[in-house]
Amino acid sequence: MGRFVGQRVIESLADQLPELPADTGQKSFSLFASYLDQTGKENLEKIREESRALMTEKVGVFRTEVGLSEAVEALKALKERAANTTLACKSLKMNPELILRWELDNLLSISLVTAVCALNRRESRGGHARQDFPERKDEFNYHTLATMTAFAEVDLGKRAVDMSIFESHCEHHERFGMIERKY
Amino acid sequence: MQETYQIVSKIQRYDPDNDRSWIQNYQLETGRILQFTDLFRKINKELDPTLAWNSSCEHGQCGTCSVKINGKPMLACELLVENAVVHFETTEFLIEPLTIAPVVRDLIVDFDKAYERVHKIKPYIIEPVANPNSGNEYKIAPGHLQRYVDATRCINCFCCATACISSHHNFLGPNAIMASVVRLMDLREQAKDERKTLLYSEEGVYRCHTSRACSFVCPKEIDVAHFIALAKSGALESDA
Repeated sequence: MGRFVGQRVIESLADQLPELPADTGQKSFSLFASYLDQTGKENLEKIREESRALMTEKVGVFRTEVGLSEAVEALKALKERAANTTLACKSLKMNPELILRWELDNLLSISLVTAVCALNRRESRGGHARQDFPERKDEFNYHTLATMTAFAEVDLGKRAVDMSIFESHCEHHERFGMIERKY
Repeated sequence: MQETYQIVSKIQRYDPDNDRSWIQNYQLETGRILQFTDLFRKINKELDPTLAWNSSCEHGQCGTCSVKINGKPMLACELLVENAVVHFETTEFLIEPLTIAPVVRDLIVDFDKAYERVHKIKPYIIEPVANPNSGNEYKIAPGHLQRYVDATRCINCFCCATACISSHHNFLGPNAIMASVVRLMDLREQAKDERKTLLYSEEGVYRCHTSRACSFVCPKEIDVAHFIALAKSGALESDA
C-alpha cells in the first residue's frame, strides 16, 4: 500500500520531483539494524502483552488523571525494556519476529500519544470519559494534533472543528451545531 | 468434551537463508475454542518466535491463512482445535504450506506467484456491454444471477488449487477457471471469445480430471467442480 501510494505521488509530481536528500532511507535502515543488533533478556511478547493490559486498564473506557499519568510513566518503562530484547531470527527474508519488534515500537508510540492527549483533555466527550472531569467543556471544542519527534516528547497542537455546514445556513443546517451528545 | 487438549503440531518448516527444510514438533496445551491461527500465535509466544505463518482477516474472508492440515487444505482461521480433534480423530496435526507456489518461509508461500494464474484469466469484465439501463445500475434477473452467484463468493484462498489432482504446472487451476466462468456467465461481459480461447486452451478446462477435490475442500462451500463442468459442456450462456 505504502509503495503504491509512493509510486502515485512520484507520477503526479512528474517533473517537479525534488532532489532526494543523500541520506534517504537511512533512518529506516539504521532502525531495523538496531532491532537486529540489540541484545537483552526481555521478552518481546511479554512487553506487548503488558502494554495491552496497561492500555485496557488505564487508558480504556473510564480514565482518570492518576491512571493516565501512571500509564505514561509505565509506557516509558516498557519502551526502555523493548530495547533489551533479542531477536531469535536475524533474517531479512519474511521475518515475522522483526516485524513484531517494529510493530511493538509503533504500538508503544501510539499508546503514549493516546495517553498524553487523553491527559490533556480534561473533560468528557464522546468515547473519551474522564471520571474526574465528567462534563463536556467548550474550551476543548477542537481536534488535537499531536506530534512526537522522539519517544515521549509530544507536542500538542489544535485544529478547529469544521463548522462549514452549520454556518452555510443550508437546509437542516441547525442539526450540525455544537451540542452535547448524551442519552 | 474435554476442557483442554495436548496438541502436537508437526510443522513443515523452511529456512530460505540456508535452504533447509525440516519438520518441527511443537507440543502445547490449549483450550477447546482456539483457532489454528491462534495456535500458531501461541507457538510464537511460548515456544518459538521464529515460526513464520500468514494471516490477515482471521474470519474466513480473505484466504491468506490457507495451509494443509493432515493433508487437507483449509483456512487455519476457520478451524478450531476442538473441531479439528473431532474431524481428524487425533490430537496430532501435520501442518504444511500450500503446494501451489514456492515456499517463502515455513508456512508462507509466494502468493504473487499463485495469483499469476488468476491475473492471467482477467478476473474482471474485460469489455463491458452498454448498459441498457443507462445512468443506473446494470440489472440482472435474479434467476440468471442465481446460476453463478455462489461462484462470486470465491476468496482465492487456493485451497481448491492445492487439492486439485491435475498438474499445477500447466493447468490454470480451479479457482482461476471459475473466475473466468463467472464472467462468461455474466451478461455484462462482451469479451466472451477471448475468455473461451484461454478456457479451452492447453492449460484450460480439459486438464481437469473431474476428481471434484476442489468442491470437497472449498472453505466457502462453493461447488467449484460444477462450474468447471459447465465450461466443459459449453453450457455457459443458456438460461437452462
